[in-house]
Amino acid sequence: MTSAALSLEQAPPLSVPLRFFLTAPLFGMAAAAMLLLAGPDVLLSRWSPATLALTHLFVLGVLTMVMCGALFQMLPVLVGAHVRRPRLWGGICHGLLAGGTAALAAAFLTTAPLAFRCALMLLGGGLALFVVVLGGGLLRAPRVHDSVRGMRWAAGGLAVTVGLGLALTLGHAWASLPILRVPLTDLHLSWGLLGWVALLITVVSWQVIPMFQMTPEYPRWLRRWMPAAIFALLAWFSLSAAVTWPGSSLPLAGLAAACAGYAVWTLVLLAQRRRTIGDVNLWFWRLGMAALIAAALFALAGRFGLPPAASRLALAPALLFLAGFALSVVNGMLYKIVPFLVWLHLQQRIGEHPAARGQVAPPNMRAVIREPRARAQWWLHAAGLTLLLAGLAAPVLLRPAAVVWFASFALLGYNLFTAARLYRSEAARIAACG
Amino acid sequence: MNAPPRETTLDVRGLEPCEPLDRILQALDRLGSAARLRALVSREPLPLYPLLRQRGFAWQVVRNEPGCCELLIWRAGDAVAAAADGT
Repeated sequence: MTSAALSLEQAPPLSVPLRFFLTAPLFGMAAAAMLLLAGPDVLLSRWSPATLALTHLFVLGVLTMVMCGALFQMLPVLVGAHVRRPRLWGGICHGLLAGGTAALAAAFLTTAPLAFRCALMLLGGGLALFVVVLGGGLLRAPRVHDSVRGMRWAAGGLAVTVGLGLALTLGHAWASLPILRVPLTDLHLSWGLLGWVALLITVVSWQVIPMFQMTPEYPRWLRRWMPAAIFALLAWFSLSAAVTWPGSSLPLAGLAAACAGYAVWTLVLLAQRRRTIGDVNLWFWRLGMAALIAAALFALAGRFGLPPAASRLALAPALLFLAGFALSVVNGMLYKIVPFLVWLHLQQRIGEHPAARGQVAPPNMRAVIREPRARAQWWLHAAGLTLLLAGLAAPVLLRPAAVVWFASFALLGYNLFTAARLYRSEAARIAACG
Repeated sequence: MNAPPRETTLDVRGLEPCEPLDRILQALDRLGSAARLRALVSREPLPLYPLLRQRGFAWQVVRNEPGCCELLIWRAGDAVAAAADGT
């Protein structure tokens, strides 16, 4: 087989993913600042305005921001699927997502219908555009393998999440509209966390764990069936929300088992890695998988009323999933993806300037972001997570947690900024060679 | 009858990113005419292809199975290297 399908003209410039990556820590710092200002009052319940604002700053501004940016670049790198006009669509998606996230947070805090309408237009437009661009890229993938199939399921999960979120926002923007807020919110949350965040992370992990941690591959049956199984369980769970029947706990139990099983399998693979030297990416993955197992156990216990739904501890599964699992993994992946992209794009620059060959060598991935600073950020991340979870039982710890989270996101942003700065200086050296 | 192309084999399986691609590109900088590089990598190196095309190389994937992808790479337009049986 001779491959001629790929060309550099189709590959997005580094600025496309980087603008998403560099924006994410800013939203993380904004979420931490909100937690600091609101203090123990936040996280009183999932319905408090500050909790909703904080959650969406984090899920949209940090997690979805990074995941969108990564997909613009990683689709061609990992699955050979190209996104058309990445600079244009990437720029528009980024602007709408950032503006819409800020508008939605403001809307939750002020409850102003106008702010909800702004958020509806910006976020609805940005995320719908992203689903179309992502779906188009996946449909044009030169070969349909497990990762492409899995990403298609994740794109479907995102589409359902966005649809439910827009319906809920419509209810805020026009109060006269009859919206079944509680069941729709439960479905929006479930599809967002599992159908989008968890699905995409698992699909990407099939590629990046063996590639960057030198582990054996995930088994074929898991790669083939897990996305469809999660999607089917979510659909079953959605139907259970509408119709109560004796087996309505089964889909939740199935989803918890799938997540915990995936996490255990990942930990086993990481234990078999051929790299003898550990790195901060490994630490983030291990922490993330431990948190995912804990979140699954807490979610199952919650089904049986432990802890009671009115208790602040009822938020533990969501916090473990978002801050413990999703953020750990996304944060850890940034420390691999960004250095790899810097190296790759510098190689492309050298290809454009043949005189630079032999004169300038792109830095090794390990030299792009200094490991001690990345490890320092992991410690801040782990401390922030510990304080946040402890804050559910002792709310006085929530403000210290906010300070540590702020520092963690600030250091993450600085680490990513140093990678971007290194890229610019090396690219200038290459260009100077003629 | 033309002489067969000179062939160099480079096994970069087991190296962590971005070492495999780095070593392949370095080896290609030294590749002469009527010669080709047989590279063994752990997985199909999709990010390498645009770099090869940009540098004027052609390639063929002769084996792609779990744990081993085997590529033949030569200078585009090099009839001697391209004509030989890839396997």
